[in-house]
Amino acid sequence: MAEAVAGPLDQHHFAIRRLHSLMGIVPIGAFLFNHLLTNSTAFLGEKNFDDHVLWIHHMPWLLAIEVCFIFVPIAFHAVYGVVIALQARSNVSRYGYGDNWRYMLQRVTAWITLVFIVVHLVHFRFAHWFGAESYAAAHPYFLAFTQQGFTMWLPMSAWMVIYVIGLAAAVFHLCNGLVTFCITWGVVIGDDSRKRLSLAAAALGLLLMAWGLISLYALGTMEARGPGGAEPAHVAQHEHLS
Amino acid sequence: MAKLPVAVIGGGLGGLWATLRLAEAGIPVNLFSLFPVKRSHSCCAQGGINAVFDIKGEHDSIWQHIVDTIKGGDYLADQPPIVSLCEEAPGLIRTFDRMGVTFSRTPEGIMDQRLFGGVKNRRTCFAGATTGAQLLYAVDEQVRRWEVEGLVNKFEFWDFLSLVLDDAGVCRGVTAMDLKTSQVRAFPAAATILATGGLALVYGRSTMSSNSTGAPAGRVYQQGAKFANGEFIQFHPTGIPGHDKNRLMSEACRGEGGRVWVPRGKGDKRPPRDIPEEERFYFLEEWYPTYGNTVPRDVGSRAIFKVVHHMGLGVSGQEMVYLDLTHKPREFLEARLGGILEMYETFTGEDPYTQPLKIFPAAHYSMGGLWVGYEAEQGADGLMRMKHASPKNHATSIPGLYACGECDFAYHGANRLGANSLLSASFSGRVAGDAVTAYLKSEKKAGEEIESSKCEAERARQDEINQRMIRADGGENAFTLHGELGDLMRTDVFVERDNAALDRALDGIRMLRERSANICLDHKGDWSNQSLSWGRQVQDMIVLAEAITKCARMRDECRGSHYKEAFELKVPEGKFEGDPEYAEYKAQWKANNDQWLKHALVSFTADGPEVEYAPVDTCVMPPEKPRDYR
Amino acid sequence: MADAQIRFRIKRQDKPDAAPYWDDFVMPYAPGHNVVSALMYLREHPVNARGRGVEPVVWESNCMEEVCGACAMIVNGTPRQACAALIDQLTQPITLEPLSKFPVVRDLLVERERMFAALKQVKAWVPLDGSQDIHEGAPRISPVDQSLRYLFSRCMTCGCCMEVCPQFHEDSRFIGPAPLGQVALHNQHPTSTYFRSERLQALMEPGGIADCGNAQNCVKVCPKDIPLTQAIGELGRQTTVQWLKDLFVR
Repeated sequence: MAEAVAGPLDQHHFAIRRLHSLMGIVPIGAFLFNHLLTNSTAFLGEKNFDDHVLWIHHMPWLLAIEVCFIFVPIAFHAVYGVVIALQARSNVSRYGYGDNWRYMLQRVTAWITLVFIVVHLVHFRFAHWFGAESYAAAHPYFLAFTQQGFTMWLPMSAWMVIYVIGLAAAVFHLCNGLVTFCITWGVVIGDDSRKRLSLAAAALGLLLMAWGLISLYALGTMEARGPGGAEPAHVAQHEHLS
Repeated sequence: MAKLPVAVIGGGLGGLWATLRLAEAGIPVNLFSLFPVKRSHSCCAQGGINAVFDIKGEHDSIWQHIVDTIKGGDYLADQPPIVSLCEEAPGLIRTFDRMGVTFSRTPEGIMDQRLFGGVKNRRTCFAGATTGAQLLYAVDEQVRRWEVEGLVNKFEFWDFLSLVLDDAGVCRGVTAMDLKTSQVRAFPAAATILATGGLALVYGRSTMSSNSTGAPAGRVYQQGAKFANGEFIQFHPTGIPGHDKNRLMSEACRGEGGRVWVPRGKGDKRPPRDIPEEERFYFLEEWYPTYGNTVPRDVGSRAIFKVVHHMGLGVSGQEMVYLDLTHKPREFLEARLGGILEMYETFTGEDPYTQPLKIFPAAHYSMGGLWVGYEAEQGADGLMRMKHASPKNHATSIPGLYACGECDFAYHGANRLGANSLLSASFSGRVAGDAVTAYLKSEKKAGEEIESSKCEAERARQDEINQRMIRADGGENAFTLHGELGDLMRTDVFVERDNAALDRALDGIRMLRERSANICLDHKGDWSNQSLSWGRQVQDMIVLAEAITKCARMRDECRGSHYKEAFELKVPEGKFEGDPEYAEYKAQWKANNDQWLKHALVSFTADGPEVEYAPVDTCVMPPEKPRDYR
Repeated sequence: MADAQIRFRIKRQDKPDAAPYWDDFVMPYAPGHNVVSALMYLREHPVNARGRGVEPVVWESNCMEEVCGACAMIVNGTPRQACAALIDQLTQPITLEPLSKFPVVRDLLVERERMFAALKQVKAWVPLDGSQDIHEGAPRISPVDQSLRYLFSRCMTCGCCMEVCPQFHEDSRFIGPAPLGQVALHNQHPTSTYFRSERLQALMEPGGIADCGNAQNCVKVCPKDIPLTQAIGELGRQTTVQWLKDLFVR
């Protein structure tokens, strides 16, 4: 690393590490929680999903929020995370303890998640830069649009594999990261409290996985009506308001 | 101008304490050690450290500690230093406490004390089962702090080779070898403190660490320092014989009902459990029906030695006997001896709950060592004690050379009290540091650097010895020689001695000495040549062994750890003070003291050790009554 | 008899900058050997399995009772004290390697100076006014606190925890688990804690506590069962508080 960069990085080393750790939970972890929660509503029906997404789209300062609380934190967490991950000399082949495996997986899932997030953003958020239809244009038929996305460029089965892997990586990275966050910050100290925390994190992981999987299931199986169907009630309502 | 540093050789408790005192006085120190000082042998001491705090309502007193130490040593130690040792022990322990030593605590949070061998009162402070390590680490930390301050310069992985003496015979520096490069360097020094620990490796396998060779003491002895009371080596009856060392097994096993036996048939190869009761020889129970297996340490050691070496009944023909606990219920053993038996299992791989332990006496602690002096001073209470910060304290017979810790001969006389060794190591290190500080003030010349030609000449001499040894191809293996030395010492200069055997031993040692001139190393290079440093150490161990054996040969009496059956004064059985037989015994005892209550001082000559005798300072408590443990 | 021999495969290196190589050794079996006692036999009989005379294997050992920390090496893939590694409990051939995280001096001998340097960095000592008797001991310490400190005070700086730590290696600045245990020890002592802030600030430098990756290997190989992860958690909390103090109070 160039000296010019090393200077301030070294000077604020602890703060940067703590921030990196914190960002993973808040806002990134919180965002992932919310994202998967929203997605899971697809399982409850097209309207349900479209309602929730629409609610998000009507948040004030959406772009600012998106940039400040999602893009910048993820970019920071990713870039500095690469710096951290490159320092690791994983040794699970020699010392195959469970915790050591999780240490290694935390770094492997970081790489997978990083790649997946790029794919995911290109796939939906910035697809229009690559000749596809803009997400905004889907308004307000989000589920139908999303379902279309899953057949764009690749067959749906391939997308499903990619998304299941990405989902699992991101969920593991978050939940294991929650444990290491608590150790790092000194929230838990003793062995017993660490074990309890690990159980709680595993439970959270199952919940998030379930949300993710049922939304993928819904996408894969549901027949969305989209613009061809009746106008969703919430759209009409919205139009009345404006 | 930068001050000339003091050289401290050895970084155990003694060396570190001396270093600490010097650094606190603003004197720079070059600290030499064969390994990082934190690994020194002091860490092996488990039991504890004595100091009178009298926290158990036993009316323990410092005077009682003094008496116990004097009597325990069979009066063979100069007494004014013992007074200082015991008086300053509580202050020393308080300092350790302040250093953060994790002493075990009473429910009220003060240092706890427990009972230790040979005394009646609870006087021993302890930190779990690793007291020595805890004390060592505490001083190590304090010295590290002075290292950061720049006053202490450590030379770890360096082997001390010799003193640099000026024309007047004053020690003005040292030479040492870098164990990585084999490079020899001379270090001018304002004064030198030797704190190189014990020498029990002259017994081959002992309870000591594998670097406790005594070679540094042997080296300064060959340069003119007087060695004293070498014949007094403490043997521990229950060592666990190993290929590498004889690990210490707590005496508690005998106390808790362990039975010592060997098969009656010579060379009986059966596993111990298959040997029927009537074919087992419970020799302690047979020979000493009153005490049985709990006879005192020295009696037990000698009985085991006799069964193995005189009767040839050692288990599998080897130097070991059984110490059997298998008749005791497992729960009982776990509760009483759990930790100790776990250690046994770790290092032997055998299950002491179902297999008898195998034990043999092992050389443990050397009461003798380099002769050191002191300046006595009478206090207002009339007691003579060591004068604080006198340059004479712990000074060897070579001006400018001091010695402290196990490598000196002070405090313990003919036998050492349990938990007094950590005390004497720390205390003497502190005293030596203060003494050198005073010496530097009083001897202006000490601060001047000796002419470099003297340093260079000594350096070249040492380097030449190295080169000769590397080049030599005489066919003697240094490791084999050490093994033979140990076998010889463990046979003829061990727990019981007789003059014929000692004469034989002296002949044997002389032959080993001749052979050691023909050591041929398997390692011919310079880089990290452990054979070279070992080869040189073996040569010096042989020289020291000769001094020890000579002392033993000359002393025709029984005192402390030194036992010659032919000269034993037996207490008349059933007779006490007032009986004429006892009066006669007492007269004999006094006559023996008149003849033998004196320090053996050994000087090195090319023809072998020369022993002279010097009086023991018994001004504090003259020997009036024999020890009587009945 | 298959067990009549002890077979070794030893990773050797003649100089710090030389390439390592493997050398095989065979010696007669005798009950009760441990790795160090076997190495002692081999140094007296330095002939390798091919019958070629070689320079004796170089290693470090001292106490032989698992308290001095000198003989730590990798025995059959696991870092441990060689003196407590009994031949009868090891599968053969027994592989011996030097600790890989420290510079090799020769064969199995490594230079662990970095660990001692770390103790300087974190001021692992009680700030004493002097070693003279001040006619007072340390303040009272409850038996509970004492036994907790005792767990940490047994660290012998052997380096096993450093060896298995994936964050500690020659290219990283991470201080490693052993010195962290010593900070935990000292920050708990009633007077040593006077240095608390300084120690914590040292740990907040690059290579400090924040570089721990929570692999938790350290605690699994410690020959003294020192609760190193507990120390790390505790210090995580202490540095967090210190950081916030520095941010908002100073």
